[in-house]
Amino acid sequence: MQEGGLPERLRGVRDVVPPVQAALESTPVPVDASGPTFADLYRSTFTEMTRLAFLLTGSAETARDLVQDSFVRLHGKWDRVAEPRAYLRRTVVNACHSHHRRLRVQRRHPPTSQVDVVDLGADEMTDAIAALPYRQRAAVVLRFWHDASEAEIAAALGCRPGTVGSLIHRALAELRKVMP
Amino acid sequence: MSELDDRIRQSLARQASSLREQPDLEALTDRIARRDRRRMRGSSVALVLALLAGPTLGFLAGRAGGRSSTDVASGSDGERVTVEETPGSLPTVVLGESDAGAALAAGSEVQIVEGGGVSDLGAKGPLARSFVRDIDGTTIRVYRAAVDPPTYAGPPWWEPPATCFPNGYVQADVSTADAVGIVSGSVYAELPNMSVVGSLGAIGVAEGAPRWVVVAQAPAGTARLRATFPDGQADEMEPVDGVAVLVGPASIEPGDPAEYETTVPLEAFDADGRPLGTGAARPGPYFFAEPDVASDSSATLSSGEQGAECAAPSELPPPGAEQPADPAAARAEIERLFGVRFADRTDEERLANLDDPTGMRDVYEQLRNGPFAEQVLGSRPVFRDLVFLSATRAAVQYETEIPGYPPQALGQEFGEVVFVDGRWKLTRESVCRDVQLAGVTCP
Repeated sequence: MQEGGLPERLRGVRDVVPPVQAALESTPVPVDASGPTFADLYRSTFTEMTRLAFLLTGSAETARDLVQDSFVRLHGKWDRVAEPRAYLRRTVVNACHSHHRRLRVQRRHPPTSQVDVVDLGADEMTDAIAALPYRQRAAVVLRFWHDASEAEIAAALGCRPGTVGSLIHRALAELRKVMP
Repeated sequence: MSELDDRIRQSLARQASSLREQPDLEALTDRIARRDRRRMRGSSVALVLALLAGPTLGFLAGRAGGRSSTDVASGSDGERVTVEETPGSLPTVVLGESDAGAALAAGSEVQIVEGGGVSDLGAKGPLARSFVRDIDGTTIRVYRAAVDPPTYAGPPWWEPPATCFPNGYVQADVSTADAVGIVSGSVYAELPNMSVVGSLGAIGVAEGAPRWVVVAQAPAGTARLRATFPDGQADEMEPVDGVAVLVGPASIEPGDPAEYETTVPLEAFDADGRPLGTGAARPGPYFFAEPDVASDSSATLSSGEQGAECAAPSELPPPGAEQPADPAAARAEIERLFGVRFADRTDEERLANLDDPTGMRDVYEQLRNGPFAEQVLGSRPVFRDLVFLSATRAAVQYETEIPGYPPQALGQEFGEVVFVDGRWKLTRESVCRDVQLAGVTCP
């Protein structure tokens, strides 16, 4: 039974919308009572996460959508996540990766595909980074834009820290080829 | 720092700063609310499935006689698919009857949607074996069963499309040299628009030998169903009775969120290798066939959410052509069926207000002694509106007040009343839908 409300199963059966916004404002970070609420974290990191997703997908609309979804996921696990920022970053990177995979599948079926709008601009370097394999691209963006450490990048990509160095090394080699 | 590093930093900073998205807490709130509704709807479906059937309905038609099998297909090197000759009708099982019942009795939440691919509910067998697949040292034993369609908590006059709810259950028992595990999924009587749907789970994570497992349903005419796993490797097979179970390498560790967030693309091909449709498998034992909103592709479906056509109507239907001779008097009589607290009516009065009271005395007894007895006794249905569907039938909109809970805690509710034996009465179906919410099943 939930305090002041219906049991979850009773509530859900009738499609009752819980007072989500109030909950967002009051939900504390579980591991640190003095930490920000979910809403605080949302407000303070949304722009940064959206820009990260934008750099990884090339689409502002997709970035906004994926980041909102990532916050929804974080909200569902809020009381179990020890490091919300790291979890969020990883979720965003994963969501962008999934987005790329989905696009690849769709492109194999042109009659049914829906090509995402890419508005990267005319910057040659931007185009070169966008052409990198996803994991290399993500490693470069996290390293050079997000200033993330190897350990943080490894956590976001779900790989060993040693792999991060290799990804960035290969990415830079590729960029040197096209950006002399 | 090299010149290249500088150029990369400047380029990324310039591009990033061109984006000026602002947080929109209201939009996020809406999205979370939608997620909660979907999650609870899924939970409700399973809960209703679990509650409705009861322990005596384990299965209706078991496996008759012995089981024989035939090797009918072989795929890639080292693969063997052995299809079992199952009886004409599948056994009908109750999903997770015991777990759900125990959870209900304990007053705890029944979590089924984010199960990481392995159903928290499981199935209370016996199941019918469908096929066995051996591929690269992995043995997959696939079992199937029919599940009764849910008595969904929507208006009585509403029939959800067949694409909204599964009518079958698939269980894949997967074993490798290092680990065993179960991944389950659902099958539908109909799949819309050549869609492919699937559920994704991982086995062997704790054992340090993880493998992805996809349980998928393909459209009719599919000769090969392919899943492409995160590392790029693909697995494919010819579906057996529309179902394929595909496995692939995984690189996840215990606690890795990827176990619950990974999506595996699915592709269906006909006998000539032409693509029939695409979709995706996502974690969770239940999946719903619906257009993929994110990709906005008419032929690409995803799992995990349902389309608007699966949402129960929230308004009364239009009135019928025929109306009662005296609509005002009929309305007043119907209104008197509502407005009284459960505890303030006797069972005799309640039974007299039902079009079919058979067995309902026991139902009321269970309500008084069930886990929600306090809420039931204090509950009061409040009439809101009605529409006459005919001279002898009306659709009613009402709310239920429950002490200690917010107004409209159960939302807008709908029921039907019929004119029988010279007076207006509640339909048994309407009442039974409501008592399900308190964990009681009508006989």
